Amino acid sequence: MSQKTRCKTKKGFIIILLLVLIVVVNTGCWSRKELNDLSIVTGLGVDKINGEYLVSVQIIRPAAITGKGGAGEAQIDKYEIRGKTVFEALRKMSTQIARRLYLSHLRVLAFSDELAKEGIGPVLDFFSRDHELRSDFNIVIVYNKPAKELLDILTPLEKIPADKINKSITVSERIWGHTILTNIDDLISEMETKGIEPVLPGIVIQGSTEKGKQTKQLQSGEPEALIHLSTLAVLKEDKFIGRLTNKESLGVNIVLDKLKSTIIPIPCNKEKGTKNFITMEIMRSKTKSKAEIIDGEPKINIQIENESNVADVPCDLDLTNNETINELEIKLEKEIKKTVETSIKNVQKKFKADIFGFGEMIHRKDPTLWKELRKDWDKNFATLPVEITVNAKIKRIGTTNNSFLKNMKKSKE
Amino acid sequence: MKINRTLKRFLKPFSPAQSQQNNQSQSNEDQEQGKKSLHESLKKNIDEIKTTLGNSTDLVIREIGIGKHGEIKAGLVYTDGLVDIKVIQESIMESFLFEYRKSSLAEHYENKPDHAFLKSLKEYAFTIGDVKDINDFQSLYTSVLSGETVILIDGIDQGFAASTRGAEHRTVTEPSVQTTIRGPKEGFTELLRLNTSLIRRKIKNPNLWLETRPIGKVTKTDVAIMYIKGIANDKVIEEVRTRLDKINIDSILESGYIEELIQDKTFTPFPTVYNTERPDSVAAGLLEGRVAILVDGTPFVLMVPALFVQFFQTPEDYYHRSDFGLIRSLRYLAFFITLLGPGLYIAITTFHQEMLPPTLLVSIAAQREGIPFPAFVEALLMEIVFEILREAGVRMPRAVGQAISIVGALILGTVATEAGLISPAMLIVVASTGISSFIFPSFNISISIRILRFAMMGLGASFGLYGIYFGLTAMVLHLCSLRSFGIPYMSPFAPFNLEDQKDSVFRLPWWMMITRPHLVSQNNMIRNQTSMPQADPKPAQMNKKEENP
Repeated sequence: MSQKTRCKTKKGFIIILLLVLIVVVNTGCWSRKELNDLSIVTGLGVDKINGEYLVSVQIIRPAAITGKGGAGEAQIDKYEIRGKTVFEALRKMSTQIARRLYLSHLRVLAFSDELAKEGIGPVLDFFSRDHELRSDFNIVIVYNKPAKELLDILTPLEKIPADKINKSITVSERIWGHTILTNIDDLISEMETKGIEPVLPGIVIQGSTEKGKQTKQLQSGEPEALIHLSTLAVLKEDKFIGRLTNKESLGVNIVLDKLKSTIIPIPCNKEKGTKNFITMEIMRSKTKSKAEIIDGEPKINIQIENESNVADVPCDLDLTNNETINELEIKLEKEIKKTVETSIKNVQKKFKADIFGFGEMIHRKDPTLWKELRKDWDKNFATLPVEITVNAKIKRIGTTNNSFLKNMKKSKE
Repeated sequence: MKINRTLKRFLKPFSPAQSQQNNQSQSNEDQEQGKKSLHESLKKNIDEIKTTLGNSTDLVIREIGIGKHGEIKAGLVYTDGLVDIKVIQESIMESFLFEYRKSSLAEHYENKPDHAFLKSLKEYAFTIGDVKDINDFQSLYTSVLSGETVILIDGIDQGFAASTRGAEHRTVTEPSVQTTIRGPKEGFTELLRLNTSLIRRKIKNPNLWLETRPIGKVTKTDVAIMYIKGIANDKVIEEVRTRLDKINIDSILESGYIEELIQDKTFTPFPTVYNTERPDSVAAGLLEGRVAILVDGTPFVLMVPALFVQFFQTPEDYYHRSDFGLIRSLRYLAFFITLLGPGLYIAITTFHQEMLPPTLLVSIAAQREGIPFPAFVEALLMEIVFEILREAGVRMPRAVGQAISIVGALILGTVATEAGLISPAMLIVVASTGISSFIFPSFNISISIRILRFAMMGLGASFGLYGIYFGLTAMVLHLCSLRSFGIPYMSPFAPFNLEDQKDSVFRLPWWMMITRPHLVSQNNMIRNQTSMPQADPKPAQMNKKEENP
């Protein structure tokens, strides 16, 4: 090999080596962020004051949470700042906090009902657009108080307050069924779609926020301030228009087929004097809703099937008898039907907002009819006939047959 | 490829290509000297031997008189310490000085020793099995220096060498590196002949062939190739021969020399030659069609072709009842932990915090509060300290070993976390990768993984998960490009062979292991035709019931 080509390959080798070095060194650590340079935001609240947004963030103190900090130390910091937009405010917050705000682990996004009445849409766009945010945070409406107060309150058992809200919504949805988990993707698509309106979990702050801020809150066994899951908030497009009642919330949950388990008390009617209730525990519930068009008139058919256990029988009933069980099933069916019916009627009357998604069902069944109906859908929704059929089954009656109360009475006689 | 070529060019001044000429001339001299044939006169021969060997004090030259009246002069030449003195006394001295003198043969050649006399001596007088002729000085030296006794007769330009080897050597002991719970407890020793016998004892088959050649111009180390004719791939055997013949080096002190001189690729972190100190491992390899290379003076035997999967297999996998590869897959898991552990930790905690569950993130963040280094530096520091500890543990005298390992592992770790220099999470990551790196049955592969681990850490720290992904891709591509003596290194994964999966990640029961590995041997594929063991429908009948009252 000649000297010349040797020189060339040597040069080539050096160039390749340099290129690799440049790639590694220059791009290296481009978007690197060390964990101890981040402040992890778990809760974010948005209020509106004098046309400006008041953004408040809840930042965790990792050391305090893992028990490394001093005893009685608060686990969170809360900061608030005003801004013309949410993102502006968040960046402006760097004048208050030494570290970069990190939004990926946001658990709760709270809006005050004041702001929600004007519409949450303008704010929400940032949260759906920003790359750092995951889509699994909860969006809640705080009733009667500014959202920033929600982020103030310390919670004793769950060390991250925002996590407490997240967890109680999850747990309550699973075993109580009066609230609904929503994520931002569903929320936005419900806002966009004409035939369905969103509902959001509502939150009420009980007690005084001032006391809830103090670390005393953590030391006493009875917290001074409580974050309390309230009934669902009804939105029309992006505007908050009102709260449901407890029973209505349950009804909405059943219609939307989001119910997993709940408790339904039925009065025992044999002994009229007492006001005892039989407790039914719904174990499984399945709802099938369909639109039907009869002679050009739309109608919604809702079929509810559920399985339940008898959980508590304080009245004189012979549970070993099949007929009693059948009677109970019929009562339960009636009860559920009533709950669902009233909630649909109330929503139709009070809010005229199609939170059940009936419009979408009609759209799917008969698109041409929907084109006509959607022009004045709010009115059409208010008068939409709904038929409900419930099929309830009792599967188990617990670990005893008849109640000991019954035997007690017998032995007295 | 290009880099490789250029690198070679850089190294050219040191590469054998240029210095070959010098070597050649040197070896020519050697040969000329070696071809020098023996003198007729015993005295001349003895003088020459003494000068050549520099009057070395361990050289013993004993002049005796044989024949009826001791009129024929003979000389015994041997190296003290390499020979069994007892054998020389009983089989050479006694037979020459007593038995032969009494025999009628002695009368026959009373005055004139000639070649026929030599032949008769060899045929009738010796009570030693292995005897060969010596015609020139070169073979004389080789014989003497490898423990044979050379007998020279005055007046004849020829002698013969009798095998009287009996040097002191280490006895067969339990292997210290590749230990097992179940399985043979014998390991190779430093003596080549003992090592070959250990393998022969396991495979009593005439097709187990052995070739020996001396390698090393100065050391003349015996290197043996062992294979089973008819099972091993002839092309591989031929390749081994040519590669061994190409070796032109002054010394072979360990099989590692050979490994580096015959391996397929130098610039790769992965070993393409397998080594073991277990005879059962070698026997199993031979039966799969591999070729073993035994080197005198080391208990480590090489085996080629070596495949990637081989470094994850232990002899024990085949001795315990088949667990269908549960334990073996653990090793593959450990492979990834060792390779990626710190890299992934760095990548996720500095680039992809959103991937961590909130509680885990909080707990890691809490540990990182007040740590002065970025995660990468933290990891690098700990990894380097760990490597130093490990290396020190191997190197240091046994007596201090325990103290250092306790100081190093426990105190250093605890104090570093308490002082807030290193986060406990990082310590866990480093410790678990460290432990995982010890799981591999072959120490070779853990060296290569440890090297790559640092590369993965760098990639993770500069590019996040993308970097690790690219690193892994590059590694897999490189692995697939490797070959060991012509056999694809990643087989049976790439090229994929369904039947060979029986013994890759899985280890199926023996009755399902019907063939040898496909690419390794390609000869005589069927190894097992046992059908699935089936129990009798009932246990053996107990007829005692009737007898009992």
